[in-house]
Amino acid sequence: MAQNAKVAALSDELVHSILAFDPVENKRAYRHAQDIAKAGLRAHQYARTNQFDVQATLARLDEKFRVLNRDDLADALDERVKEINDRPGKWIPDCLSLLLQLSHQPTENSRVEALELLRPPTPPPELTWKEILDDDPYSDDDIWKDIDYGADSSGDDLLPTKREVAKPSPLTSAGEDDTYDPQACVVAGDAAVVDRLEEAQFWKHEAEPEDGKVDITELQAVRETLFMLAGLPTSLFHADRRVGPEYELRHAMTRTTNYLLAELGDTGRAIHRLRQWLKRPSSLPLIQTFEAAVSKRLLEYHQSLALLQQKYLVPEKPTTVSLLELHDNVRAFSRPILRLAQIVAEIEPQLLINPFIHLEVLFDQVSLAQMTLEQDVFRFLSHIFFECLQTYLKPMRRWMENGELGLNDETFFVFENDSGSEASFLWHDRFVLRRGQENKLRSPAFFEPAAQKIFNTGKSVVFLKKLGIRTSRLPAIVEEPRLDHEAVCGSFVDLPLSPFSELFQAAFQTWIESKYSLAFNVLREYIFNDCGLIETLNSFRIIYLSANGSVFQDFADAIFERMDISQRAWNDRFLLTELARGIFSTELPRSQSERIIVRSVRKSSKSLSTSIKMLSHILLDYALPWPLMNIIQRSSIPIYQQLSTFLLQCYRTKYLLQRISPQSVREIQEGRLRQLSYKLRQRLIWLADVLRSYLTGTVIDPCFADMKNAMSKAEDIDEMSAIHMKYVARLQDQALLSENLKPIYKAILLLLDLAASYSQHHARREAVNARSMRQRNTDKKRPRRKSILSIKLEEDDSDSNNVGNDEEGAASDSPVTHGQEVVLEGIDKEFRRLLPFVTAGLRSVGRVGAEPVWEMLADRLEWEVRRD
Amino acid sequence: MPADAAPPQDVKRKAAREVIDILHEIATLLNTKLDRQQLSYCVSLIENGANPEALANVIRELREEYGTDSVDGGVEEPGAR
Repeated sequence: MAQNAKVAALSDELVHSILAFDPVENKRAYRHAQDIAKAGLRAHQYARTNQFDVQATLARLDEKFRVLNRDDLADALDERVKEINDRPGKWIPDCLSLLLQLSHQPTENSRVEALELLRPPTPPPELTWKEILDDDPYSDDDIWKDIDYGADSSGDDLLPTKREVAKPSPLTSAGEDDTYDPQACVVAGDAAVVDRLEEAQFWKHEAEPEDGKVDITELQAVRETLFMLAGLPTSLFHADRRVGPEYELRHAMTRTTNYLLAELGDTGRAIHRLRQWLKRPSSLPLIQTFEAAVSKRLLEYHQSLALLQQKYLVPEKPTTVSLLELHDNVRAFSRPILRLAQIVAEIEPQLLINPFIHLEVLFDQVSLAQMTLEQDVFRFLSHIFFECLQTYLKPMRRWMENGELGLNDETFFVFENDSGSEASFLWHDRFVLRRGQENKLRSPAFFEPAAQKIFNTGKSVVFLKKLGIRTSRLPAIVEEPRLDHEAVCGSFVDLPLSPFSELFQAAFQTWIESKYSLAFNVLREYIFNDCGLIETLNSFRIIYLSANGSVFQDFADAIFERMDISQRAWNDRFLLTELARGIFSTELPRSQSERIIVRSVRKSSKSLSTSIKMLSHILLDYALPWPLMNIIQRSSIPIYQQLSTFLLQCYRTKYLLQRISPQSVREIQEGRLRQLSYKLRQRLIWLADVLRSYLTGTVIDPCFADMKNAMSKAEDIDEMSAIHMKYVARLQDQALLSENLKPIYKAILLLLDLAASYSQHHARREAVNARSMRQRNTDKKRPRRKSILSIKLEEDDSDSNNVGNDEEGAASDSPVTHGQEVVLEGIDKEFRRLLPFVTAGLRSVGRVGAEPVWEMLADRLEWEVRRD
Repeated sequence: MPADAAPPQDVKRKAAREVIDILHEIATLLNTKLDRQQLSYCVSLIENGANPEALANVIRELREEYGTDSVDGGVEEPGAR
């Protein structure tokens, strides 16, 4: 039983060691494995191991190894087998047999080196007493010596660090010699000097018993004054520079001395305020420059004070000490700085709001000083002014030379409005002048005349940069003239004779010119020559304003034909563009005619299909390069288009009326109707002609000539675009297209429309006639298919022959003719109503407004009426 | 006296250890994939009367089902002879 339990336990252990997984986790598998083990081990059918069998197997194995060239393996195995056979053991053969059965391809897989791993590490040699004693013998003789308890005590450990911290010098001296003689440290003072010192410290003196004041000498008073002016605290003067009443000069009257000292005190007070202001620095560079200039002047003032002091301290020759003299001297050289102090006191509160105010005030004061002939003040202030100006000129210089602005530069009056704007609006929209309250420019007042020029210079540089032309590469930039006192006012000792403001403006203009002219010339060259401004304006005239009448007529005819043929798709913009380009290319160079584009506006057309209003549905467009778009602005193109439409409408009227030949009118039976027809036709044609000649001859030609003239003289882009705008505005006004002339314009359009309705009516009447004629012909003759045109011809030929028929025709046509008469009379009435209205309107406007051309048009229109 | 009794036991233990050592070396040479612990269990089992062939079969079966690839890779195959 015990045996079985032992076997069971051992087999459990074996199973556990073979198993790959934790038996706790997988109990079922574990139990299965245990069952396998139990079942396997219980089997008894196996035979007992044969010891000799085992040895034979081992021998065979050995032979096999040697044959397969594994001698090492064979030797190792042999050795161990021999060893184990030397040992007694009942179960050794069984073990060997087990191993033999479990062996798995030893020839390939076994490695002799693996044996090395098996060998347990050699145990460390046992520690013997001898070895221990060799290392650490029991004792030597020293063990019996007395112990020195004080040698290594820890109480001494702190002292060394303390000694390092303490100062070395006294201790070294102390260290060298323990005692020293303190008496040796005392140096005997000089008693006389002490007395004198005590005397000089007058503030410590005791007051006189009678009047409670202390006597001081004049020299002391002078010294105190000089110290006070230098900004040092003194006992004679209080902190606010009032004279302390407790001191007096023995030899002078109190009142006079007080008066003198009070005046000096005022001076000191003003200068002190200046010093206080300087102590508060500002962050703007402009004001910092001003502060620097002021402090420099203050330094100079101190130097002069020091010179004065020197005169009293180390006199070269005997000088009298006089407070009066001091007062005079001080007053003389304090005048400029007092003026400066006054200026600062005035502008101090405003500096935060208006950072240029010091420049403006300085400018004014300089002019004033010149007028009042204060030479020293003038020179003094003018130097300060020019120093401060240099700082202000820096951003300006940068703008004018490179077209660049500093970020968030509040002090410069140009700022970038819209950096992402298109190139075509570069000139006008991208940069703007910064304006403050009341639309005043945010700059010192004396710059305002030149501000526009400065602005334009910078803009031209930006423009050129965009074009790819860099001004720095251009040759011969004129050297910038200096702007400082010597350059502006001359280096005369006396005051300059011309007023300072004039001199300054002149110098400043020269300065600006030096920067401005180069950029400008280059730009102007470029615009005129490379971009072809004048050529473009000419092309505009040809395209929009019918400069070449025949070409425009061709264009108009082509459009009208399309209008009449196909009602719906006549304004197809691609076909019209091709048409326009083809026609205009006879007049314009190819590159320019390619830029024409025709756009069609989609509007609901309630009016007649032949109405001239249809012409406003198509618009001509011209593609401009962006530099020219800065000059010929986009807002002026619609006016061109309106004018062009107006011209087309006049052409259309004429075209429609010309298609009604006099012969076709003649064949109207009714006499009165015929006369009316003739009259209307003639009048409408006359009206169209008058309008057209007015537009082209009276309005467009002179305006264009003026504009061209002015443009060739124009200096900068501002001027050019202004000229163009004026030109376009004038065109608009004179061509009756402006807002206040809208009623007149509408009336004229109505008049032109009458022509359209007349021609349509006429065509209808002719169609009716032709139909009735055809019917009659078919009654009389055999039906023949002919076009209306040929029938008309036939009618004309056979007019005299068909008189008899006409009577019949007239009889059958009478209701139709009656209708025609009504229509024609209606047209006539309208005409007679509108024309005087137009004329009267023109006259009244001509009287009020400024354009004499309206009067001219009114005259020409009335010419007909008067005769009526 | 205890000093005398100890050495023989010691000697015996030492001898047994040596035997196990040698057997372990032979086991390694023959590529049986038995480690020292397993080998000692096997020897104890044999000394307690287990049949070596049966034991070998059991070990092979267990290895086939649940064994790891601890010593060498590969499925257990019948021993080479």
